[in-house]
Amino acid sequence: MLAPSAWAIAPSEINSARIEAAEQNPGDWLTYHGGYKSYHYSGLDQINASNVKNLEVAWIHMPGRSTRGLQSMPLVADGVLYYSGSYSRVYALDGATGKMIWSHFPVLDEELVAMQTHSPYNRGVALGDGKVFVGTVDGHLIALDLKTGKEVWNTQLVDSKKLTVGFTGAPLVVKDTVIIGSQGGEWTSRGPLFGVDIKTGKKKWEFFTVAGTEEAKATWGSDSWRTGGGGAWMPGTYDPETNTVWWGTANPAPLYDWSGADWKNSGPRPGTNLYTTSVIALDPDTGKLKFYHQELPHDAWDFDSAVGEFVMIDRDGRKLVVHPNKGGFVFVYDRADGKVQNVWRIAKNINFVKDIDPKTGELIGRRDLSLGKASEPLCPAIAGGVSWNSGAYSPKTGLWYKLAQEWCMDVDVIKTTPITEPMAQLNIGANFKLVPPPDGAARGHLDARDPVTGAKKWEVNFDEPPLASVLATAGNLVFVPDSRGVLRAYNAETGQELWSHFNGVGHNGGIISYSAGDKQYIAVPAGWGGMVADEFPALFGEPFTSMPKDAGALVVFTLKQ
Amino acid sequence: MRQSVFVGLLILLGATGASARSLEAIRTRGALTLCAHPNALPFASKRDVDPGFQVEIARELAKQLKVALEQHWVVNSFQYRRADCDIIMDAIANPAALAEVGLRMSRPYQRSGVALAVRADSGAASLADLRPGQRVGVQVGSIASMTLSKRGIQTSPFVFEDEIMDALAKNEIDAAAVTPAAIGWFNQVHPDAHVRRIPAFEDDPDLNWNVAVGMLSPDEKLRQGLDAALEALLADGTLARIYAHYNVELRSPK
Repeated sequence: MLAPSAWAIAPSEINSARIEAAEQNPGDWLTYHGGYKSYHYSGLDQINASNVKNLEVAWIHMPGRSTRGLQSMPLVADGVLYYSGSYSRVYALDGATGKMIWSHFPVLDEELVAMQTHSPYNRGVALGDGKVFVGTVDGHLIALDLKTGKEVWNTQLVDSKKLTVGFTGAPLVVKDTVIIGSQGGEWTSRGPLFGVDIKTGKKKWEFFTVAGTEEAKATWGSDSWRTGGGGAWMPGTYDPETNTVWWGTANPAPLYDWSGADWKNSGPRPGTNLYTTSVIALDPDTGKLKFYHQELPHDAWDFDSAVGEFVMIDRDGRKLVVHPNKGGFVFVYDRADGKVQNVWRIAKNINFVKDIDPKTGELIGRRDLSLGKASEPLCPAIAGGVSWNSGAYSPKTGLWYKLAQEWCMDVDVIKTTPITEPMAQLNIGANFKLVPPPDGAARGHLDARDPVTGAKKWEVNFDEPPLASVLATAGNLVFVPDSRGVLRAYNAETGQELWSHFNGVGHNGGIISYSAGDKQYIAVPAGWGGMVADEFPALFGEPFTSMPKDAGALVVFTLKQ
Repeated sequence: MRQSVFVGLLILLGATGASARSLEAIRTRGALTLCAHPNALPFASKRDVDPGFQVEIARELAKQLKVALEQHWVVNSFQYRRADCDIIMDAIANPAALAEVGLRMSRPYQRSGVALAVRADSGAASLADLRPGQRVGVQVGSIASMTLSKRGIQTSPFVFEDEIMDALAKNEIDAAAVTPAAIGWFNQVHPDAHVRRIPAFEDDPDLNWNVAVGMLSPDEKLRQGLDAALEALLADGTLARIYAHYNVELRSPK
C-alpha cells in the first residue's frame, strides 16, 4: 500500500513539522536517518516478503568521479530524489525515471581536498526551507535552491587550510537551524559543531566537542585541549518533545597514547578528555550543552561515538534512545537527561575493556596501552565493532537490525617519529595491522535484536563485514547492501534470505525506500572506498584487491510490471 | 610558518602510483621536481622573493644537474607520490624511517633537530633552569613532547611552530621546543622580540638528526648526481649563504 500524502502543510514545504511526521508520510525520506526517530524504516509495503523476488532495476544514475566510494544516503521529497557524491556534488533526480533535474558541482579548494585524509567522499545532504544543504571537505556549508540547484548561500565554517578538517557527514535541519559537525578526530582541531541560520547562512552558534565548557577544559591536562581532535562527523538527530539535539562525538587526538594506566596524569592528553567519545545533548537554538554521557572516558582506542543512529524508543512509559559505540557496545539512555539505562554488547570479540556496567556505564577492566607492542591483539580493531553505517528499527517487528564486525589488530604504540621537517609529526601514535579475532575468521554479522535489552532473535553471518547502512520496511523486509556488491533482502521476522542482486561494486553508503507516482522504490548507492574499506584487501583478498575505488552508481529498484 | 601534522595512518596505507624517474629521464624532461610546502617559511613558500631555503637549495641542485626546477606544492608526505615529485628537502637521514614513506636519501648535508628557545629576559640557561609550573610549547605528538612529559616538565601543545614562537613572545609559555630554523627565522622577522636558544637536548639522539635530500625511487645515477651536487654546494659556500639569508646556521652532519 502506498500511503497518501498526509502532511497538513504544502507538500513542497519541508520543515521540522514534516520531518517529525515522517511516519505518516512514508513516501518521503527527508533526513539522513529517515526521520527524527532514526529508524531507517520505510512504512511502504508495496514491495514485501511475498513479491520481493520480482524486484528489478528501475533506473541507474552514474555520478562519475566517485573517488573513495559513493557513500551517500539519498533523500526523497515529493517524488524527487536528492543525493550527494564525492567532491560534495549534489544531484536532483526524478524519482520515477532517474532523469536529471539539476546538479551542483561546488568549486572546491583542490589543494585542501588533496590533503584531507577523509576526502573527497560525502555522506549526504539535508532538506528544509526550500533548500538542499551540503557540507564540503574544504569547510563550507552550502544551501542550494530545491527547485533549481542554484546556490542560495555559501558559508565557510571551518578554516580548513589551517585545521585540515572539513565536512563529510550530512547536516540536520531543526526548525530554523541547519546543524553540521566537522570530521577528523585524528587532526588537531577541536571538533566543532555548528548551528547555521537556515535562511541567511549566518553562523548562529559553535560548540567545541573538545573543551567546549570550562568544566570540560579541566579534563585536558597540559593544555592538550588545544590540539585535542574530537569531531562530530556523522549526523545526530532531534527530539522535538524536549527540544534537544542528540549528537555523537569523535575520538580525541592522538588516537593512541603511551600513558598506560596512568592516563589521568600522564601522556599526551592526560584526563578524561571531555567531550570526546561522548553523546552530547544540545539546545538547537543556542548550541548550549544540556547534558552528556561520555561513553569511553579518555578513549585510548579510537572507538568514537560519532558513529551510528539514535533510535528513539518508547517502552513501558519510558522514553529511551539507543546508540551504538564503535567499541562494539550499545548504550541505552533516558531521553530526558541522558542517564544510562542499559549497556549491551553487539560485537563478540571485545577486549579493550572487560565489560561496561549496564547500570552506570562505567568501564570495567580498561586495557590502556603503553609504549611498545601490545602483548595480544586489541579487539575490536580500529575499524570498530560497529562502523559508521546505520542499522534499522522496525516498529512493526520491534526489532533493531544492526551490523557488527569481528576483527582485531596487532598494535604497537610508538614514539612519534618526525619524518621530515617542516612537515611531519605523526599524530596517530601507533602502528597497527588488522588480524582475525580469537574466535575465527574476520567477518561481520547482521543481528535482529531487541534494541533495549539486546536480546537476539536471529543473526546472519557475512564473510566480510558489510559497510553500508541497513533498511527495514513495512513489507516485512530487511535490506543489507554487502561489501562485495550484492544487495540482499531478508525476511524481517526470520532472517531468511529472500532475494539478492549484484550491483557490480561494493556498497559503502546508505539505502532508502520511497514512492514516486504509484510505485515503491528501493535506492542504494554502490561504490567502494574509504578508511575501513581500505583494510579489506589485506584481510580478505579478492574481490577487494582489484575492486575500483573511484566508480559508483545509484541503483534504484522497483517491482516488475 | 605552517607545519602540518602528519597522519600516520596514511603512512601505513603507503604511497603508491608513481613510477621511478631516473637521472636520464629527468634530463630528458629538462626538469627536477621538488615537493615543498607552500607556506612554511623559512623552509619553503610560494613567495617569489625569499621563497625559503629548501626552494633555493633545490634550485641550486637543479642547476648542478643542468636542468630546470619544477615545484609542486604539498602539505603532507602522503602527497609526494600523488604529486609525482623527484625530491623533497630536509628529509631526516634515517633510512628506515624514510623507507616507511617510500623515500631514499642522499648524503646528509645539514645537522638539525629540536632546540629550546626562551625569551631574552628569561634567566634560564638550560632545561634544568625551568621552574615547576613553567610550560614548554611543543609540537603536538612530537618526540619532544613525549620526552619533556616523561621528565615531568609541563608542556603545551601547538600545531604549528610559528604559533609556538608567537606564544613564547606573548608570555603565554616559558620556553619553546622547536627547530633551530624556527628560532633563527623568528628573530629575523621579529627583531624587537628577540629570543635566545639555550642548550636542552644536545645529547638526546632522538632529538638531533642529520638531514638529506629525500628521493622518490631514484636510480643510482640520480643519487650520485645529487650527492655530487651537494658536495659542490657545500664546498663553494652556497649552502651556508642560503641558510644565512634566513638566519639559519649551517651545521656539519654528524
